[in-house]
Amino acid sequence: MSKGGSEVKETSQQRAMTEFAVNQLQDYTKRWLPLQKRLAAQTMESGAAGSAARKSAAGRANVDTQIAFAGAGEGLEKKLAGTGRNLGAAMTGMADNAATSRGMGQVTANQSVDDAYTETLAALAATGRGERAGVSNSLSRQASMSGQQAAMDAETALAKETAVGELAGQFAGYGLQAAMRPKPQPQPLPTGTTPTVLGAQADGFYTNPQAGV
Amino acid sequence: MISGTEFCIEDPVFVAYASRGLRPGVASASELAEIEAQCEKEEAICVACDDGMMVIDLRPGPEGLELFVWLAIAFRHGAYERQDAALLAIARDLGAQTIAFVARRRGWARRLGPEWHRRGKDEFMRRVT
Repeated sequence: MSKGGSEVKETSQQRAMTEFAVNQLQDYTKRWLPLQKRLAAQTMESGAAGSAARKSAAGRANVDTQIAFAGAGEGLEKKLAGTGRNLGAAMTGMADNAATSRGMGQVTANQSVDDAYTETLAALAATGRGERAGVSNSLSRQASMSGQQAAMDAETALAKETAVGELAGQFAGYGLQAAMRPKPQPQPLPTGTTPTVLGAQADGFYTNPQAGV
Repeated sequence: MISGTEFCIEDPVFVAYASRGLRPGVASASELAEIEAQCEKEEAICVACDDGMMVIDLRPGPEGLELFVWLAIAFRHGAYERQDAALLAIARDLGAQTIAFVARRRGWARRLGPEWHRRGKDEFMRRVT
C-alpha cells in the first residue's frame, strides 16, 4: 500500500485472473445464447401452417392410431370368438372407429402445436414484463397426447364393439336354443272324442263323453 | 435452458424492468444502473426464469473462480428453494469453485443450508460441489 493512499494495486496475476474470469463468462454467453435463440426460432417455425412440427405431429397421430387399433382388433377377435357374432362386421365397425380416431388425432396433434406455439410466444413476450410463462415441456407434451387419445379411442371402440357383439351373440344363442327345443306336436285324437266348441283343444284338453269327463 | 436449468439469458434492460418492484433498501438506483452497465459490458449476465431473475458475474475468488450474485429478485414465493440447484448448475458450468453474495436483508443465515458459510459481516459463500 502506498503512503498516504488507500488504493490497493492489482498485481498482474490478479489482472490476468480477472480477465480470464470475464472471458469465461463471455464464452458461456456465446455458448448458450445461440441455443436459446434457436429454440425461440424453432418455436416460431413450428407454429407456421404446414411446418415440419405440424407434419411430424400429424404423422405421429396416424402411427399411434394404427398401433392402438391393431391391438384393439386382436382383443376384439379373442373376445368375440365363439360368441356367434359376425367378426367381419365387428372389424368393419373397428375400422370406422379407427378412421374417426385418426381424424381426431390429427386435430389434437395440430392443436398441440398451436398450444406450444402460443405458450412459447407468450413466454417470449413476457420477457419484458419480468415474468416468463412455462413452456419447457409443452412441445414434448404434444407428442404423447396423440398416442394417449388413440389408445383411449381404441379402448372405447373395443368396449363398444364387444358389447354389440355380445348382445348379438346372446340373441343368436337364444334363437338357436329356441329352434332346438322340441315343439309340442298335436296328438291324434283318441277314438270317440271330439273337440269341444269351447276351444279346449287349444289347451290340450279333450273331452270324452263316454268317460263322462 | 442455460446449463440445463429453467433460466434464460436476458437483455441488460431487463435489470431495470425487474427491479421496479424491489423493496426500498435492497439496491439503490445508482447500484442498479451500475449492474445494468456491467451487463452491457458483458462483464455480468442477467438470467431469468418463472421464479425470478439474477445478475451474476465471474471473478477471482479465494479458491479459484467465484460466481458472484450481484442481484437476485424473486417473482414468486419459494423461488430460492426451487432455484438453488439451478444456481449451482450454472456455477459448475462456468467453472466456478465458489458462489457468493452480499445479503442486504436479514434472515438469510436461517434460510440458507449448512453448505453456506458467512464471510465477513454480511457476505455468504458456498463451495461448488
